[in-house]
Amino acid sequence: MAPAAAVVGLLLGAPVALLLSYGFAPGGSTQADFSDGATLENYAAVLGDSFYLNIILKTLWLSLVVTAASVVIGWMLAYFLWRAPERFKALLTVAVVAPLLVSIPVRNYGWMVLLGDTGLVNIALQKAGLVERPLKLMFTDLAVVIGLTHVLMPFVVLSVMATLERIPANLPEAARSLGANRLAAVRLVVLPLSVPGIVAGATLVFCVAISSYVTPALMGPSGAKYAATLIYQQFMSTFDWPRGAAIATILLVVTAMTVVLGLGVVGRRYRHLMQAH
Amino acid sequence: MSKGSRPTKPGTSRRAFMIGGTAATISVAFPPPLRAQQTTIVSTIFGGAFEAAYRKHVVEPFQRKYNAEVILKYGTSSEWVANSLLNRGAPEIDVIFLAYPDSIRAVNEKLGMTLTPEDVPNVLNLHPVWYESYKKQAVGLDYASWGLTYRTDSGIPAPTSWLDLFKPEYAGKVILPNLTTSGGFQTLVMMAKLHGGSEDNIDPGFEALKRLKPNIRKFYLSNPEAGQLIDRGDAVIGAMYDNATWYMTDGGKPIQWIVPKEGALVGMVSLHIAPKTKHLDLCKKFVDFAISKEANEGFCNAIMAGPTNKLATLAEPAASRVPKLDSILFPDWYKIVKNAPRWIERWNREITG
Repeated sequence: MAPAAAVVGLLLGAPVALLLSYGFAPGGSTQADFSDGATLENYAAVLGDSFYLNIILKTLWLSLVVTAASVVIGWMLAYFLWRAPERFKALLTVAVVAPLLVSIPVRNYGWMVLLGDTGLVNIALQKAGLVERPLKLMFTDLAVVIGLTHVLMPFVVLSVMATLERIPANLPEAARSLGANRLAAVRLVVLPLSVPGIVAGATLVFCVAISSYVTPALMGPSGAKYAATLIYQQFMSTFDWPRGAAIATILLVVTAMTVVLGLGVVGRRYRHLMQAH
Repeated sequence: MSKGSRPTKPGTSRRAFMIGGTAATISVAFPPPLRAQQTTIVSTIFGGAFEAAYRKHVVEPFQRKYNAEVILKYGTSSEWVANSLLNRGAPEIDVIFLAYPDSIRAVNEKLGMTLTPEDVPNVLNLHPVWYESYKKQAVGLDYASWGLTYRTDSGIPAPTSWLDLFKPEYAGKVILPNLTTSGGFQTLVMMAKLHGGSEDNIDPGFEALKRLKPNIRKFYLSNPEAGQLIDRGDAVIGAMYDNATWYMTDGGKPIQWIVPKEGALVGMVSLHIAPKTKHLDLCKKFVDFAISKEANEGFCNAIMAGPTNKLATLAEPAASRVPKLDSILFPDWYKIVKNAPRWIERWNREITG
């Protein structure tokens, strides 16, 4: 276990550490020039500027919304799959997971066909007389949330399904025989037992959402509005790598803090459920 | 079922699997035996119709003539510049194909070696600007023109000027490139010049674009995206390159390209040779071949681009579609690249913020 962890740590940690060290070099170039010593100017510039802070906070907020939406929709889908007759289960699981096989840009373009000004949603709304002019659904934060939730929700489904499969299938029935109605059986028995799956799925979705580049770039508003698009711009357009590294480090810290906080809160409330059974 | 009498499983045993798997991994890890007498160089290219024409008229004839192999990597100009910066000592890309403004960055960072007529004889056949403007560290391959693309079925009369973009009829229907997208800097500088500014005084450009914001549907991030937005009708007019538009027109779409009366600006792709490449001789031959009369003519006719070789002539339909070299406007790219970081910051806050 220890040698494997050491190898993974080295292969993952070393490049990240190298990148992060750039953040402490003077900005404005593609070199990390430490001849005048390390500096905090990049961090001061980013953290002291409401423009950058807004971008980071907006990205954080967006990721939390995507995580919540993915968990809610994903959980319901996983429960439905769990209760499905055996002979359909495999097929339905493949149907849920199949989008993962399609590349993300292709899925995003698919959304453009639906949500675009001349897309199916707008055509339907106009034909039904509900709107006069097409709604601007694409290139908004809403479009990004839809796109990311669509892409990341299968991870919640898989993770929750794995936990649900370990619950005896007759447990909800047992609860109902003790007087719970159907909703209470799910809410008070199945849901708490699936918490480990929810936590694993939510963590994964959150981490991917907060750092995602492709979907916000293709479906979101113009410009560098989110952390990942801003970092990409710093590296590839402005060619200010220390500044980009500083923003990346801040994003990493924000992500880590949120995950630790979330796990801490959930862990405390559901400690008795988080152990493997 | 008693434990002691379990029959052995048919098929591969664990041991056989391990041996087979290890053998397969080792054989994959080693490269196939090198074909005798064939060198390989790595270059870069934009995908799509551009790539198809490039392969047909430049790469494949070159490979046949010199019995060599050219591997083309995909990506964006700025990624290739970043790659070349990081791998200066041992280049991954031998012949770097770049577009503005990354080609000027490459010149500033000396990522391409100085080319002489001894190295690349066809340099003498180029329009001088495509050699001098790169401080002799690269050669231009073909030029594209930056003008207005519009749908002919929008109900709005065809545009004639850059300032038509400001018309209220176009509210929410205009697309322009984001500043960091190809064509972005041309647009900003054009807007500045139309309102009394220049590369040294860019404020009028920003002011004009701020006034234009209500008309903008999106600041697009790539040329294919621009094409799609116009194709699907999310936008009816935008600033785009000519060759990308002709591709759609020839596909039967109601889309046209014009040179606005104030002029079209130039876009150019260039070839740079990494100084520490292991295949210097072949790289020089490749660059020479790419800018030769035959290759230039074939390629530019195929994608409706302007040739850089003086001897190359265009046939119809390219001949009447491609603006003549002396009619296109050249911004000062060195000033643009110098100001780029500050302009990008301003753009983030004032235009897309």
